[in-house]
Amino acid sequence: MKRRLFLQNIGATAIGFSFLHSAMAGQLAASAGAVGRVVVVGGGMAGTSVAKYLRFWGGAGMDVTLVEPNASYISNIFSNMVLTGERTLSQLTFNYSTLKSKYGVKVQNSSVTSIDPVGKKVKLSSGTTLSYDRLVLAPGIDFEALPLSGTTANKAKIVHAWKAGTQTTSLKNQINAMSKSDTFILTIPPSPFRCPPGPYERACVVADHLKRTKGGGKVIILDANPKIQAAVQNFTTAFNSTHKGIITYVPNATISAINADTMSVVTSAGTFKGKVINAIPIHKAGNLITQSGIGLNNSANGKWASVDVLSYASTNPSLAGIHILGDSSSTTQPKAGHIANAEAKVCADAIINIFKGGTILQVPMTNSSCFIPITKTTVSWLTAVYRYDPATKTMIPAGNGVTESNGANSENYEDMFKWFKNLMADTFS
Amino acid sequence: MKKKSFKATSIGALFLVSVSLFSCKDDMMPPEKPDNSIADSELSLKAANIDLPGRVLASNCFQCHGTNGYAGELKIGEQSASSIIGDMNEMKSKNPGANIMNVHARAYTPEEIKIIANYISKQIKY
Repeated sequence: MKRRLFLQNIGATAIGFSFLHSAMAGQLAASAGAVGRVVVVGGGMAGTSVAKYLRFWGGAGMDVTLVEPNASYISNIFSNMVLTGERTLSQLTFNYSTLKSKYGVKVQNSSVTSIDPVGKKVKLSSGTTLSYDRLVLAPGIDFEALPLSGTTANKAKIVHAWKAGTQTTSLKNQINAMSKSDTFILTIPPSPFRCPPGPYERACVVADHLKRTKGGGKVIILDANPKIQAAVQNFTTAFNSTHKGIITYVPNATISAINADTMSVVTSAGTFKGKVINAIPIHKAGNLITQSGIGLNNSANGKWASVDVLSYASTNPSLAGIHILGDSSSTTQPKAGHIANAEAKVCADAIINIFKGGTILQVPMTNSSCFIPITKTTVSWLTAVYRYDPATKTMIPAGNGVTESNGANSENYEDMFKWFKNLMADTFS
Repeated sequence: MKKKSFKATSIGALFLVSVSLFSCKDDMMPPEKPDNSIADSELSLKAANIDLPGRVLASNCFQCHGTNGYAGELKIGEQSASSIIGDMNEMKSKNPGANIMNVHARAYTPEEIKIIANYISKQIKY
């Protein structure tokens, strides 16, 4: 109780301590400076990174507990390569053992059932109650229901595979059962959605796979958006040239119905039939954000968490001490694993400095990078570095802005594997 | 000076640990479980070492170049600050669409690049 008051007082006068950070840099034993309890909810890219870096940078005084119901995490990055048989789900599975053994993060295999923002406590499905000084929520995304009709068995075939796992395996099996005269339909929801280039990449690698293994096939992209949402130049080339005759791109296709019995999709751009329908539903923040009942989902449409990108603290004034990271938060940055890792470092640094009574960094920077397969052997990339803009209080692209590679090539293909390995190591080990 | 000897000690200790793990495989020593855990005091010491200005900026490098710059491939750790600054300046002149590092190098001011380079040059493998 005393400590909590102390921390609040420090928070209120944080600016007054701004000189401390530089004066003590490199001299202060971290355990003497940063002392506090942090509960992190969600063991994806954002939650795992923030738990690691709170301990790595904050030292032994940081009491960090990660709450995650699953024993391991399956990477969404590279999961399109599971569809084409180039990777297995087990190769994309990471666990929390290094987080525990090397960084001393406590891991609770449980879910959060309620949050008490006044008493600063979270209740878990295991029955445990955890007290916190700071709570970091990173529950990723959930989906709106699809306008789906049909028998239960047929409806089960309509998958999104947008959270890597059993649906990925189902979609892979459905693709394998296709013949060269069959059509694969991919529906893309209105932005924002997780991994902006991801659906277009999926269309490319599935088209390439059908061409290579079936001798042909059709891929129809039904995009609810008016245009390609990321890496426009490279995907335009892929659709019009590399995968010409296989991929058909249909913009402005808002879905009104999907019939799983007739395997047809009714949209504002027409009705389309396919052998396989891969429907990615409209996104919203993880259920914890939209169903907590404490006002975490305070974006304009009530689907996302608005945050201060200096620390990822909720902008809801009644939620002091709660931070929301990664895909659940509403920022100008893309929803993706690589940048979630960067957001986590900004958040970890801010929390440590708040605990130390210092000031938080006023010009944070983050970056988004992804390698995008266009075929089995050629890869493009998309990257941007974001800098905090004090005028708009948002993260805006710096330098050359959002930049995509000049086409796809095999050199990028090699780099892609180094990127993935190092990104996952920076997050999980 | 202090940091160097600490680094040398850590590498030495790691070497000894790995030697002992391999050598005791078949002899009569009591079985020892490989233990990656780090004592809290050691964690504090390392955390203190990395508590320098610029860690958030520098950590933008870690996703591709490894935590503290020590990836297996694409490692940038153990470079001097001036060498990192030189590399970043060289990247600034490349074609952005042909070189992903150009986009990253151009996003930072010369002062920020100095801070990043200084930070990374002082880090140890973790």
